[in-house]
This record gives sequence, C-alpha cells and structure tokens, in this order.
Amino acid sequence: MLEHITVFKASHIHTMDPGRPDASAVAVSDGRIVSVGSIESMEPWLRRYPHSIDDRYSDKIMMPGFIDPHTHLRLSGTYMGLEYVGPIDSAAPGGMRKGLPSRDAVLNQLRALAAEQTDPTTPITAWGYDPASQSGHLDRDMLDQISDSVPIWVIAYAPHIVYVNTPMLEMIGVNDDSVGHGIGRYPDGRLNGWFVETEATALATRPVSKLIYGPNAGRTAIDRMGAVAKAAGVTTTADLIWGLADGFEPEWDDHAKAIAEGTFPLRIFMIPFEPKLVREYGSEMLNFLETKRAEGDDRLNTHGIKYVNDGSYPSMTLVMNEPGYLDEDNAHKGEVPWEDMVERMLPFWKAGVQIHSHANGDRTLDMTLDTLEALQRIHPRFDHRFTVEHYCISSPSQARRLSALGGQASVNIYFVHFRAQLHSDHGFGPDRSEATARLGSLERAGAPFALHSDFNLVVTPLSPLLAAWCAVNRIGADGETVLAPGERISVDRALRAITIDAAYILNRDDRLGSIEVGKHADFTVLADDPYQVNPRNLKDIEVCDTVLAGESTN
Amino acid sequence: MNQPTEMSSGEVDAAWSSVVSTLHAARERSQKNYTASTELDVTVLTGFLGSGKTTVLRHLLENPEDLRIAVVVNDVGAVEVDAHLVKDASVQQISLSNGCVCCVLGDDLENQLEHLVTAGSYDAVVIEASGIADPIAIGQIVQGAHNCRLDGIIAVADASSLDVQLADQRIAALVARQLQAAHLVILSKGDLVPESERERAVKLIADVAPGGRIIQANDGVIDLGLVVGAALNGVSMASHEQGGGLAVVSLVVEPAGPWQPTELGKFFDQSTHGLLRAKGWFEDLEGSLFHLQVVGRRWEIKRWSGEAPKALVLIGLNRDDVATTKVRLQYIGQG
Repeated sequence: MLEHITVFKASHIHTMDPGRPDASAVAVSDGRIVSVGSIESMEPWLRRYPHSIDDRYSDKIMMPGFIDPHTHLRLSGTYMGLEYVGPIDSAAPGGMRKGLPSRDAVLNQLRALAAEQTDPTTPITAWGYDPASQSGHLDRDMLDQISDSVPIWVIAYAPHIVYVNTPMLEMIGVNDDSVGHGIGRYPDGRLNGWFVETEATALATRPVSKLIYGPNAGRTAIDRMGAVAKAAGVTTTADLIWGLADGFEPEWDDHAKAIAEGTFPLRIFMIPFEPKLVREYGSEMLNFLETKRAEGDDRLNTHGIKYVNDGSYPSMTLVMNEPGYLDEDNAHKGEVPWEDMVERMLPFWKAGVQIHSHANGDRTLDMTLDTLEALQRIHPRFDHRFTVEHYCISSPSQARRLSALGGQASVNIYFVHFRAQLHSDHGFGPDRSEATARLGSLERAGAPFALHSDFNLVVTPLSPLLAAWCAVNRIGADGETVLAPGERISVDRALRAITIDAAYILNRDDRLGSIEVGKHADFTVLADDPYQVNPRNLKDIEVCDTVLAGESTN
Repeated sequence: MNQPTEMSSGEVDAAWSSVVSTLHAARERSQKNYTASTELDVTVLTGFLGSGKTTVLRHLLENPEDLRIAVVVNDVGAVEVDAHLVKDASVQQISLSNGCVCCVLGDDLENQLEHLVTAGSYDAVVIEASGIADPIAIGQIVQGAHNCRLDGIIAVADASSLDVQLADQRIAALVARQLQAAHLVILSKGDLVPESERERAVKLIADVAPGGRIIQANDGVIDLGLVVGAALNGVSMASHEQGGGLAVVSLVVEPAGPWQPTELGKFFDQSTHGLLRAKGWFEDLEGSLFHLQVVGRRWEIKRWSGEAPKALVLIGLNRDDVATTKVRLQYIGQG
C-alpha cells in the first residue's frame, strides 16, 4: 500500500537498464522507484494511488546517481578546513569553486567569510592565493580592514607564503621584536603579515593545523567532502580504509551522526583495512563485521575487506615486473607480507566477505591473481566479486586471467590524463605509462570494472564525469595526444562504469546503479545529455542536482 | 613569487597536495617534544630529471673535505662513486672509505633522518629529492624530523634543457616550483651550450624565481661549503679567494657585532646582500652570543650557549658584492 507517489519528469532519462534504456518519467514512493517510463506508461500506478508530478527537472537529463566506489572522504577531508581563493576553478565544498580574477575579488570573499564568522576565536583559513595572476600580494593592513578581531590566515597557491592579519599574528605569537627568516616587515620595521618559506610558513601554520586536526576534524571532514562528492553528482561511495586513522567505532559514529543530522547527502560503505581489523579484533574480526552489518542500513553499512599490497602510482612506489623502473624506483610492498597473503585472505574468502585488494603495479597484480587462484583451489567460489583496486599497470593477459578467475577491477582512470605522460619519461617508461589503466583490455576480457577517484589520497580530482571523459578519450596532459587508443571505451561503457557497474563492484547492483523498479531512488541530474554531447566535452557537463532516496539534496 | 597565470586543474591538485603537506608537517612538529641537542644539517637537493643532481652528489661524496656526509638518494647504483673509495656496497647502501655513506630513500623519510641523527656519525645529510617531487614538502618533512635542521634547498637546473622544460606544460609547473623553492640554484651543463643559451637559462631562472642566487657548476664541481653548511663549521676564519673555474669569494667580518638580532634579520631580509652563504657568531648589545646561518635568500638566527669566535664568514660570487656587504654589516654595528 503506497502512501504517495512522486513522479519526476525529465527531458530524458538514461536508466542504465539495457533492456529498457530510455524514459521520460520516474515514479518514486518512500525512497524507492515504483515505475519508470512515461507518465502514460505508469498510469496503472497513478490511477490507484495519490500522486504529484515534480517537473523541476523537466528540461534536464536524469541518470542513476553516480557511484565512486573508492574514496577516502573522512581521511582526506581533515585537511580541507580551508576555503579556496585561487585564480582558476577548483573542486571545493559546495561544488566547483570559480576562480577569483583579482585581489579585490579575494578580499571581497574573505570579507563575506568574516561577516559570517560567528566565533571570533576561530580563524578564517583559505588557500590558493596567487599574487602573480591576482594582482599583487595581500598584507596585514589589508586583512585588518576586513577584520581586526577575527584571525585571517591565507596560504598561497604555491605554499611559499602565508598572509595573516593582526589577530592571527597574536595567535601565532609573534610581534615586532620577533626574529626569524621569512617573517615579513614593512619598511618601518612593523610586521607586514607575511610568512615566507619553510620555517616561517610552518610557524604560521601551527595554530591553524591544530584546529584543522582538532577533535571534530573527522566530522567536519565528512560534511565537507560529502559536499564535494555531491557536487560532482555522486550519491554512493565507499571508504576503502575504514579504521586506519582514528579507529573503527569513531569513524563509523562520525558518519552515522552526519547522516542523522542531514549533513552527508550520500550512501557510504565502510570497507575495513585488514591489518588494523586483525590487530584490533583478532579472532573476533568476523563477528565484529557481522555486528556492524546488522547495525548498518541502506545509508551506512560495512562491506568487504581491504588489503593494500603496494605503493602508489604518482609516488612511483608500485611494484613492477621486468624490465622494472626507468628510474626513481621506490617500490614498496604493503604491511601484509606477500607470502602470507593466501593465509590472511582465506578466513574472509571462506566467510563470503568480498575482498578488495589494492594492486597498482603489474608485479603486484600477478601476486594478487596468484593469491586468487590459490583461494579458488582451496575453496572454490562463484560470484565472489574479488576486486583489484586501482589496476594502474597491467597487461592484456592479466585482464584475461582476472576474468577467468571471476575477478573484477575498480580502476583509477584519472592518471591517464593527469600523470601518464610525465611518467613516460620518469619511473614507468613510455610503454607502461601509455597503457595506464587498460579498460579496453578489461572489456575485451569480459571482466567487470568501475572507475574511481581514490579521492583524495592521490592527486586526482573527484568527478565521475571527468573519469568517464578520461576513459573515453584517453587524452594526455598535453591536451592532444591520445594514449593507447585501443584501451579507450565507449561512452555507454564509461557511463556504466560510474553507475550500474560501480554498483556491481560494491555488490549492490540489486539495489543501486540503475533506474529500475524496486531500486533506491538515487538520481544525478545533468544539464546536458552525456550520450549527445561531443565525447570530448563529457567532463564539462554541469551537474545540477542529486536525488537521494527520492529527495533533492540541494 | 612568480606564478604562471595559465594553470590547469591538475596543477591545482598539485598545489593542494603541497598545502596539505605544509599543514601536516606543522601538526607533526607541534606534537613533538624537542630536546635541546646538536642538530644535524640537512640539505635538500632538487631539480628535474636529468638536471645533474647525481653528478653534484658524486662530487660531494668523492670530495667531502673531511666531513662525513650521508647522501640519501633514489637509486644508489646510479651514483657510481669512484670504485677505489667503496668500502662496502649493497643495493640499499654504499659505505665509503672517507666516512661518507650513500643510502636509498625509504618509505619514511622522517624516520630515516632521525636514525641518521641517532647514528651520530655524520656531519651533514644531503637528500636527493625525486625529480618530480615538490621540494617544499620534503623541506617540511625535514623540519618536522627530530633534531634535524633544514640547511637549505638547492636546485640543479640544466642550462641545455631548462627552456624546453619550462615550455612543456606537462612539467613546467613542477620545474618552476622547484626553482622557486630553492635558496640556491646550481646551473649545470653551462659548458655544453653556447654562451647565449646559458645566458637565456640564467634569465629564465631569474624570471621564474626572482631574487634567487645562481651558481654555475660544470661536471658537478662545486664548493662543498655552498651545498653543505656544515662545511663552514670549522672554517678557518681567514679570507680566501678560490682559484679554478669557480670564483667564489669569502671574506670574514671580525669581530662580528654587537648587533640587534632584529636589525640583522631586517638586513638579510633584503635580498640585495649578494651572498651565497654566510655563517658565524655575533654578539648583541647585551653581550649574548647568537649563531647566524645564511643560504641565499634564507637566514636563521639562534641564541647560542657556549663559546664561539665572534666572527662571520661571508661567501659570494664576486669580491665587490661580498666586500660591500661586509661594509654594510659593519655599519649596522655602528648604527
């Protein structure tokens, strides 16, 4: 018995259900999808139940809510207590932040922040100021005119310099008699509010850093980073290092509170970091996960187990096969010894817990596949959804082996654009750099895959549409070269990899990832149709809104 | 502070990650209790791939002038130290008969530095930053490490390819950042290019990193004291002018002071002093002793407990600059 049905109309709905791909209306009740098609087609429902038509998206495109299946919102967000005041557009809490063209524009923004500041003991902290393109340095007197009571702290785009006002100088604990390199002065000897280069910036940053890493940092981070993800159209994500920073219960509680208080517009799965889980819970580890699963719900839950078995792509710490590194080899393996991997994974494998295993390098991928094969020998399983996380450097044969063993991949595709050309000359060499993130090979091998950002543990943005753009175009950092064209995938396949296939990776494709009857009513609302725009412009499509369980998050 | 005005979103991410490391280092530092004891000087050597960092390091290891220097690199094998000097070699570490060591950069630089301090057998550390690392982040780690002192950040720039690097949008921001972070810039391979190209490289560096001090060095041959501050610790306080290709001039101010530390700080804040390095001790008006260290644009003044000669050694590129600075310093003393 349905109480009320809301029908969302759109100029086009891409359902990502290949059997019924297109629609113009979706009916929602109590957070779930009741019907998808047209107003006419859902008439049998509308005739029987009270309903209303919501046409706020009638000139927009609707898709299933985007899923980024590998992020670190809480951990990375603890850094993000800063406003962005840089010269070019950047992702920030509340969406893309427009670049500010001039110093006056920056001062206006700081003035607005100062006016909003209710607690005069909490500094206003901002980053990204660029004195070259924003017409000159800031200084103490300028910032004092904005506020002589609220401390103001601004770190430049290249963090050589911090600008502060008088209240912030007091908080840092320096005065006109202080001596130190990089503590700037006016010609008359008065401090000018500049802190230049390493010692001085560190001195000026200490009080701010203490605040940013204070007791409420985790919660603040979740709220801020949740807003970043929402602005990029994400409605579901997974934290792939649950427990590492502050422990399992505190991290879970922060998310639970944020959801209860309505400040976190996402669904999230907490995926425990295995070494920490083993250390903390020992023989009780599986019981702990079972308890948390029972405690969780459709907004916050736990799922799977996470292993980290080599380093990262940008820091050139992944483990590679022959012929190895061109230069700068800092390869390192993770905390769990490789020779113990089968033994460590086995209890989870036998208990039916989905394994997420980080492998950036192809040597690590070999080890991971060997481990999966051994697990299959010891205890054969179907539909286990063993997931290789990142999958940066690989070969076509590894894709086929992954597929044959029933595995799948969650791929960081952003590196193709942001880093691959750099590493052609540095670290990985031209061949493996060009073939970073082989999605075409995975597709040909029939292995399921999704795209993720790893936000913000590596230097990549969080934007599923940008990820799809990278996957479809594979354009290098030079803006023109197409890298390994045979590893490109179609627009449809890329959009699947940020919706239904990402849900599959998280083993929730029964409830999420497409617009189908019975599923959660999570939608992403776009200004333009990703199937219609030039694929080179996929990343520029504006995200207008997201809908979570039938409610707009705006 | 000269930034390109055209920037990509990738650069914003790189900038953000630098800001993050600054915040993080400040937190690490504020959580530690510092014990007062001798600090180990740590130099960060930065520069893009192929700029000549390794050649500079090899020269240091082979000519340490009685200092025991620990060099931390990405790849020990690449350094190719003179085989006659090698006492013991592995993939991880090469020990030299002159007391120096060359070891691989590990996962945790901070721990590694603290181990070198604890080992107690080194006078200075030089870290070779990865060619694509942000040296500021490494400088911050050094500052956060127990009983380590950031001596300076030194960039090596390749006269034969700097213009190409700064025109390549994939790497330009990184190369610029490395030059801007540096307190001294070593221009390498100047002997391999025509004079005009070398001059263009000097101008490019001045454009990207105004006020930076530029030293030219061929085949990595550079005065140890310019790279490693510890080389000036036991310097005989006597002026000398060096022969050979590098016209480095050092003059001594004696006695140094009395000066107000704030006045001296203001003096070194003006980047017109023309010094590459300066080091020594001076007295303030109350007779307290202070230690001064200068590396290019960077200076540090610390209260000194114990005995020390009241003298400063000033090192610069030409006699006029250094002599002028010497006179101006003495004038501060009288004024």
